[in-house]
Amino acid sequence: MTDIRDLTQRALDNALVDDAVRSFWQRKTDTEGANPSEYIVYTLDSDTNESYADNSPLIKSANVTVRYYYRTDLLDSYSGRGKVKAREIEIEAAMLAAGFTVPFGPSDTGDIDNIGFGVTVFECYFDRLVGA
Amino acid sequence: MKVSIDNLQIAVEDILREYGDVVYKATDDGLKEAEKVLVNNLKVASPVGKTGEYAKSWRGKKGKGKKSLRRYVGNTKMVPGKNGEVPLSNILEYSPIRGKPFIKRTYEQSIPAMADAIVGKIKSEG
Repeated sequence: MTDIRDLTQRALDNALVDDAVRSFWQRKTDTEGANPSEYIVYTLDSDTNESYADNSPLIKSANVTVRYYYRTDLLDSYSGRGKVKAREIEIEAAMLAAGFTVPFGPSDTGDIDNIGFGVTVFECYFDRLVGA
Repeated sequence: MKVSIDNLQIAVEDILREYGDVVYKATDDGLKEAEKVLVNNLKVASPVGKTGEYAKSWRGKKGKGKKSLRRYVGNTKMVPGKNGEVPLSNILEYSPIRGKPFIKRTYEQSIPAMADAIVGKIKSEG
């Protein structure tokens, strides 16, 4: 069955690694050559059984939360704000292209870790057949 | 009530409008009940700090215009951060460092109770 974490990592890396924007599962680690102003942390929040036959699950639905971190200084300039918006579009497109749905789009959550980085959250869902 | 063939269209429109109003009101009342269920469940599930203020800060809001048959439930508690205030619910739900997620889980667990509340209210208004 599809490995959701691997799928997410590949989708984000394929879209963002050229700009040195690194993606991390659960927590950020120090990475050489990484863009110091932007990074991503994603988590697999749930992977629930959605449909059953003969008491066995037929479909599973995974919920991945993608958090895009950007230095809040970027919001001080027109070009910086444009860069953040462009990146949000890029992230959403990457997740959609990988087969996720992003029903709520991007959501501003503020500096949730109190580290001087703004965060945009994407709630992503991926349904797949068990055994596929 | 007798309706002449000439006035049939108007009479049908009146009945449908009246029926629509009844359905709208029953649905709206049902949503109000569902909102109460969710707010109560979120209050119970909220982490309690020194003051319990966060748990008391859940509010429901009715949508406007075309979204009037929607309810929005949120928490009004803000906390200071490096760059201005941040909603505490965002920190709890999304921060990998300081988070303690419970909102989405509580919402999902509340769906059957919310559905029951809506159906119960609509039935009671018969």
